[in-house]
Amino acid sequence: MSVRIMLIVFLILFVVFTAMTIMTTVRQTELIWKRNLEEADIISDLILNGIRYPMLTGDQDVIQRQFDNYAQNKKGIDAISLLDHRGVVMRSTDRSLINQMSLADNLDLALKGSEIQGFVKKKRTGKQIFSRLVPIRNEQKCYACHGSERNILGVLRITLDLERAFVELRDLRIRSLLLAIVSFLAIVVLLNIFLFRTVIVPIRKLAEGMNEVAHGNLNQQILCAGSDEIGSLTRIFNKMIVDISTLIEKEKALTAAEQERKEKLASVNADLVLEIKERRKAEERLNTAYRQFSDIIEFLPDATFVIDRDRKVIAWNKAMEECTGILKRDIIGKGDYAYSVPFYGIARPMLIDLIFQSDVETETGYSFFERKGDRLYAESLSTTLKEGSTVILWAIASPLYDNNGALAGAIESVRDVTQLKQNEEKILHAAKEWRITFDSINDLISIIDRDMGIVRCNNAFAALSSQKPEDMIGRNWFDVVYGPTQKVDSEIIKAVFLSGRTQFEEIFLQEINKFYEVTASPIFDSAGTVTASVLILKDITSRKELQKKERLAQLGKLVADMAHEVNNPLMIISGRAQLSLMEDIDNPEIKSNLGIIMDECQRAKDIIQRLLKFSRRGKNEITAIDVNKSLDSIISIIEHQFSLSSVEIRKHFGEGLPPVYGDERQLQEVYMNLLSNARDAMPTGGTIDVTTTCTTNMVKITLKDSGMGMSAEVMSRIFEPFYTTKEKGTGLGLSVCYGIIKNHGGELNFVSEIGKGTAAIIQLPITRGGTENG
Amino acid sequence: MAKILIVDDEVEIVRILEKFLTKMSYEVVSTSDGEKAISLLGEDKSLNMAILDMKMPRIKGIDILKTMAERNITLPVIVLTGSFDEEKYLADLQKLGYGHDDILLKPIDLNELLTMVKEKLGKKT
Repeated sequence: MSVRIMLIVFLILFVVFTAMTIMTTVRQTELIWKRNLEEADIISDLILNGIRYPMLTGDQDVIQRQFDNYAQNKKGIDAISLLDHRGVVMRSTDRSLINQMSLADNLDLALKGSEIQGFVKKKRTGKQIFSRLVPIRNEQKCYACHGSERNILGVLRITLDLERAFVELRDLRIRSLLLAIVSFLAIVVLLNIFLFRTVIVPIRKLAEGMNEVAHGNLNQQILCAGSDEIGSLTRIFNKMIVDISTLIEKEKALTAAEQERKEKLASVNADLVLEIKERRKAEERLNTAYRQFSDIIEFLPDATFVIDRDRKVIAWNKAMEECTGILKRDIIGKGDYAYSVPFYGIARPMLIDLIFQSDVETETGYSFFERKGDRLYAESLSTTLKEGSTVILWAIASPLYDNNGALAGAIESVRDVTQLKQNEEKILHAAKEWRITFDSINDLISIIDRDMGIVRCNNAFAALSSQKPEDMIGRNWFDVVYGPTQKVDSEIIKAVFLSGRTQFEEIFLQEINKFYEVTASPIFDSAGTVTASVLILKDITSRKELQKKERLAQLGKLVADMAHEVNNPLMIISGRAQLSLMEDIDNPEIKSNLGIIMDECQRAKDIIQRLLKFSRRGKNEITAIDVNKSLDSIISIIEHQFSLSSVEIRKHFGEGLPPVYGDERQLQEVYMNLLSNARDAMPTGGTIDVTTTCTTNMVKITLKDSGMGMSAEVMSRIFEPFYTTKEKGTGLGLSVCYGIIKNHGGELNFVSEIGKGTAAIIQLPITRGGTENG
Repeated sequence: MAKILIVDDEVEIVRILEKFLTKMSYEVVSTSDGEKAISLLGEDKSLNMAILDMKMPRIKGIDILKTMAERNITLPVIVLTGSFDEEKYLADLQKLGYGHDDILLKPIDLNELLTMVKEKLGKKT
């Protein structure tokens, strides 16, 4: 406030001082100029007068001298020049201008007779100068030189340097300005001090006091400085403060009480608002949860309903509507087992009710019932759900609890599993059918994994080990088929896993003396890898035997044809020999020769007869044979010959063996043949153990050598006609033996181990049989 | 003097038998052809015996025997065979009333033949 007042005062003072200063300065400037111009007039007049005479006299040099004098003596003269009527400089203080055309402004006007004066800029230096052009008029006196035709003879040009005037002017201005500033400042300071002491300080105090009051500080009195207006104002103010203070005290008390009340109310209000908010949120959450819960139940694929603790229906979903045909709106809120009616036809407890209380009658009524924790599972039949058919239902019931863990209700889901059950049964039935089919197949079927472990097999396969199929799982296939001691490798099984293509092979199982055709087929996983293989072993023993029989029959026919063909020439030879012998022959050598021919023909005939017998067309002579005796007679014949080959025959005859019926000569041929084979198997010598034993219906003869043994491959082919491993063998020996033994209703088998030897086992029936038809 | 018919497709065998039986003082008629044998059997009533080879081309021994049975020609017969293989042979022979005793297996022992011839001729007489 005070500052503003002071500013205004200062501003006014400033303006006044400035105006005064300017006015003074302008006035003085004018005076200075006037004086200078007057001076210039005087000087120019002086010069004009001064040059008048010399001009009249025509003394030009004087003019020049005068000019120079003036210029030197009179300070402030810049230049003095005399120009002729054309404007050419005739004489000048500045010698350089002489004879030059003057460039002065308004020269043309001056040459016409006007006197020109004023400030001009000096053309060369740019200096401000005062120029005066005075025309020199033609006078009578001048006619002598200048003639009379011209009015104006020339122009005198005087230029004044106003430097001095400018300096004077500047000094004047500075002085004025300084005076103004000093006075201004003095006045300002004095005014300030005065104002400050008499007005600003008391007012400021008053303002402070008011400010204090405004801020509630009423416990103060402003010091009363004087008796002027401000002083009285202060006193009034002080009194007012006292009054206000009293009033405020009263007001304060009231306000405080009011405030307290308001605060309490606000606090209560805030709490309330908060609680309402919280509740609203909780309610919203609850609503959301309830809606979600309802939606979940509603769209559960299983028929589902919920009851509260009063066993009234509170939820009944779409699937339930479809299942029972009862709409949600018709059942919600209903109790008294109304929900069981569609299932049982009557209102009665069902699974969900067992959550609330156990009920043995209901529990036992189910075809399946189980309690797992607090959940119940049951399977039941419903005849009322679908007209005319029984539906199998699978139900789950579970309790629902409130926040305090008290039972609040229960939920039950029901699923129609009729189709599922039927399918399951169908599958089980199909599986059973397949199992039976699988087990009914006589072929030995097994499925093995990559490690040759049995995954599954049928009865026929399990019978190899005299076990049940389930006991075979995990066992090694080779161990089962060949026995654990045999080291057998199968190329085809490897091949089936490698190539993924079905493989075939024929194998001979020595232990059981059977031929099998093995088919190995791959089983792929979804990635196309062979993970397992189905191995089917088809018993082809009978086929093999049939083949053998067929071969033997062919052989028989061949032999018979051959016999006929050979017998004719033989008969011719022997006939001729006999006829010759009937002649009288003196030469004993011829007689001997003929005799040998006849004998050899007889031998050839015998051989042929044996071949014929082999083909079963020979004449059988069936007798009761003592096997031991029969063997003994053969052994006694060959013993000596065998000993020459370092082969020892050891007899282990069983005692009291019953007789067998057959053709002794044929059987002896078999013994002979087998013994010869045994010897051939021991090129460096060895032993042959001949053992006879008997069972209830068989006599068993074992001829065991200590020879080189046979491989499985050889073993599988030994009975084939014309199959031989010997350099000079015919391949007929064993097939003949086989034929003979079969013909006697017996068995001929071999057991062999490479490097250890071979045993030929002949079994002949004790009861007579198998030979009569031969 | 008994008259014996020898039938065998093998000429050399026929010769041997002819020589032997002639030497043994039998009258011998022989042929290598079955058809001829049948006609001889029908025509020559003086025949006392026939020795027949079983296996011959075209008309076989068994065919001759069958014809004889048809025509009621009853003669003692010795059957020669190189192979005693086909059961049918024996069965056919047995059907016609012949048996093991009427059969000789080639190559035959001539003395055995003679014994059998004598025996059969003796029986008949």
